[in-house]
Amino acid sequence: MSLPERMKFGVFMGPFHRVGENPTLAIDRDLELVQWLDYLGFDEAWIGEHHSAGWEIISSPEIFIAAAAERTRHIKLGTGVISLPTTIP
Amino acid sequence: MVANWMVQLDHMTHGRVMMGVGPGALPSDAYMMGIDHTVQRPRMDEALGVILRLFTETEPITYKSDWF
Repeated sequence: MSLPERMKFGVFMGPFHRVGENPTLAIDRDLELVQWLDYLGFDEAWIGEHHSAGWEIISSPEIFIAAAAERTRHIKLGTGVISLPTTIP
Repeated sequence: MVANWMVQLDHMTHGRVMMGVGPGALPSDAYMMGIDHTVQRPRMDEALGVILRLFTETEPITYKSDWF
């Protein structure tokens, strides 16, 4: 049986954190938030990549997604975004 | 490497990963990386072209670039 058509809900998580906050706990909380989004039935979560600003501490959405995937079952996880000019394709 | 990472994540997440790419939003990121912010957009376009070829073509590809 297929599910009825419905609007999908996703979250773009700009990785903002208070400067001076414990980064270990901040990233742990971000992962926990994705677990809640999965539990609550959100369809997608997008994780961004930033380097220079102290309040945006996720520099690799790929690594974050690898960990988040192990803690979730249904939610889709997107790189929002990978900055291509600083990578090798 | 981006293409490889996404393929690996595709396996590890059982198809739950979505790839989004961009030129980089923060001028401070470009400054920190030593990249002129005016080349970010053409570089993204060039890199995405190669990534899409890696995803879709069945033969190994060769590509010459002045930055990767």
